[in-house]
Amino acid sequence: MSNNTTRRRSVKLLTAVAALGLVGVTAACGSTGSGGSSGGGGTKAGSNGGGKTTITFMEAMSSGALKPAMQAQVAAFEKKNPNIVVNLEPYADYGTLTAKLKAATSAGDPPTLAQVYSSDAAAFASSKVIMPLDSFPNEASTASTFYKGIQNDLKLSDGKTWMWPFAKSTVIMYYNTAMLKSAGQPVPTTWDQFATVAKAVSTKGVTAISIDPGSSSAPAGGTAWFEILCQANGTPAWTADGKPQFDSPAAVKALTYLVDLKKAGALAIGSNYPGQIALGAQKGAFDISSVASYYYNSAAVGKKFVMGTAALPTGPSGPANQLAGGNVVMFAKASKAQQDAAWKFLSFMTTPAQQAAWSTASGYLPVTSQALPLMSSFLKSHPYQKFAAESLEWAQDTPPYASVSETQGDLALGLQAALGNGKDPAAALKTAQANAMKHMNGAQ
Amino acid sequence: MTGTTLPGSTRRLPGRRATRRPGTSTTGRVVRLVVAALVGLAFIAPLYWVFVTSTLNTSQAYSFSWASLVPHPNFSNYDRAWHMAPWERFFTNTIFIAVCTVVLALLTSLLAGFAFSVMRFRGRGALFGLVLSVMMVPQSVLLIPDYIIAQHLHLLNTYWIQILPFGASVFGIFLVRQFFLNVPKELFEAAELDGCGPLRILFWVGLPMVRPALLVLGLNVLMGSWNAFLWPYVMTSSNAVRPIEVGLSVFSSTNGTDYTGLCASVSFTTIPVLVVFLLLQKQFITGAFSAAGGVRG
Repeated sequence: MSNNTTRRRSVKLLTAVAALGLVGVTAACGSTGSGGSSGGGGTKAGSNGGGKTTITFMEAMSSGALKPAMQAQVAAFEKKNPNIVVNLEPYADYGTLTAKLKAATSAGDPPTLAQVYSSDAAAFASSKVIMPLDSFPNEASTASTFYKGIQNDLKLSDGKTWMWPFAKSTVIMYYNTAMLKSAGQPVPTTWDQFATVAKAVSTKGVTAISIDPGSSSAPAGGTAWFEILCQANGTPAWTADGKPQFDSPAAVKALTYLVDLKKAGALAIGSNYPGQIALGAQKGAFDISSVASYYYNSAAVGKKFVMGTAALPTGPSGPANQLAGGNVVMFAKASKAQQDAAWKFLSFMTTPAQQAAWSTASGYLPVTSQALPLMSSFLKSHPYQKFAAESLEWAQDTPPYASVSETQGDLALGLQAALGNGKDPAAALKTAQANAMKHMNGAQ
Repeated sequence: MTGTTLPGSTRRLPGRRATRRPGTSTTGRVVRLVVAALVGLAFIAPLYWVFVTSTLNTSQAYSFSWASLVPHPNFSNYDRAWHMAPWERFFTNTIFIAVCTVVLALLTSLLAGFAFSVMRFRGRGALFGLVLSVMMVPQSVLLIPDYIIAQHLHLLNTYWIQILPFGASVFGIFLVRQFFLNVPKELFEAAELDGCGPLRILFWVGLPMVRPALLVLGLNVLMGSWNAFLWPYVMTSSNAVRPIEVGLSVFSSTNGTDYTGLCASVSFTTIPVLVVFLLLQKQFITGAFSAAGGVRG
């Protein structure tokens, strides 16, 4: 009896396994995503039966206000160009996007367009998987309308235009107006003044500023701030040809400045946008981050206090700022029809009208000053957009060399060593410089 | 009855001093309860915080005050989060992928575990070592080569790419093999004498003996499949085949994270896994103990 029951159970189990397996096989065979077998997605599905050209755009505008803003851009473009279909492939961050992009290009299946950092663009260009944009109609005349900093950011070391601007931003200072007022402190305009104010407001459980230097594989905002300080002290973190100079006197001065703030209880390190979190929790007085963080900072603060925005303080060598946000590159494997369609899309996105619409909806900066008059009402309610956009004229990106992203990781580790583990700033930067040089020599 | 002790009886044997089991005193019980409560709290606190955050508005969520530790009667984040992604599709995909992966993993582990423990063939040890060596290679290193292979096999952006690579589990093979090694060989020999072939021996004699291992393995594979992120994120590009975890990335961006929306969606996507665990927790724990200590004979 018992044996029979066991046997029946086993037969039932086997039948169930077989049935599920069959269902699995059937469903898996019949269920392919819209991209067909192409995971990277775009070059194979270049043109469909209706004579439409399909382009694929891998981008990092996947969340919050950015997603609908991006979709609105595409909808406006497709309405104007009914024979072109733009497939968006959004990714939550540049790290994942770049990993996918490298996998897709290695497999010979790149998209038509993708957002990348300039160091990745340099790597792709040297592998000949992306193409220069100089030969497309009106490239030069359109580019000449962009802010100077943006124009410089589009070229690689060979002087050719390989990238096109898209979601660009610079770094600004967010602050708690009530906290500064109650401490009787002004909005700082120099980095020395910033240190004084930061120390003054760091009482009663408040740490003026929280930063995240990031890791070797993903340097974050704290590292960007350090690079800006180096520039403000007179020596950028890299030479124009991409050689690290992390142990320069300007760099040592910048890291000593941060370490002093930490020792005074005015700076803390954390992860995952710690400045934004502390500002929103009223545990921090400042957040130094991208202008594109405005949406998130504003939501974090709510009605607890009035959040102020100001241009970054200046250093001994004057104002300094860094371009943030990726550019767009076009992949050489795309068909001629796709390349033409992709260029149309890029040109459309950088027209003054579209830039005004994009900036208003997303919080990113318009790449051309011609967009500003078209967004006057937005500028009234978001005055920081104007001074931030103007900083695009002189803000600099990291040099466009493939080794920069790796050496930036060495720098992030150096900052962690000094700020997190109490290592002497000069020694930490010396180690970072030595490691960076090893990486550079290895890359060559 | 005198002089006999029934199994489980608490009667003292004559001539033996009364000994108290450690931890049975009042203090011991209190200590055990406190430790258990603290451990329980440590596990439930993150879930509670996620749920509470899902009922706050963003500004409240960033307050970190006592008030933000109490749930609010505000479920607007759930409504917002539900409309931000095709969750029905993600749920269906995730369940389908998880079930198929579990079934495949159980089947392959059972077959391979049986072969590596009960069956005798030349090179068995070397082959088993080769299988185990797969565990030494981190998956992230293989991501790009795997992508290229998947591209050549036309598996990208399909359910297959999320099922097949995990349909054979090295851990599972190892676990099932260890269980089979503890099963008395005489059982298999008797079945063989009765005329059973290897498959019949496996399914009719072996399978009931390793059920705890299969349960542990099934739950592990289910959790792994349910929580998979990087692999499906890289290997797929369409929501039509993507699982829940990838869907959750819609709340993260390069400039910040929508924590309230994320917590709301984490709350409603975690419920199915919790239900499965609660339903099977007895078997899961029994299985885990058996897996750790071998089969009791």
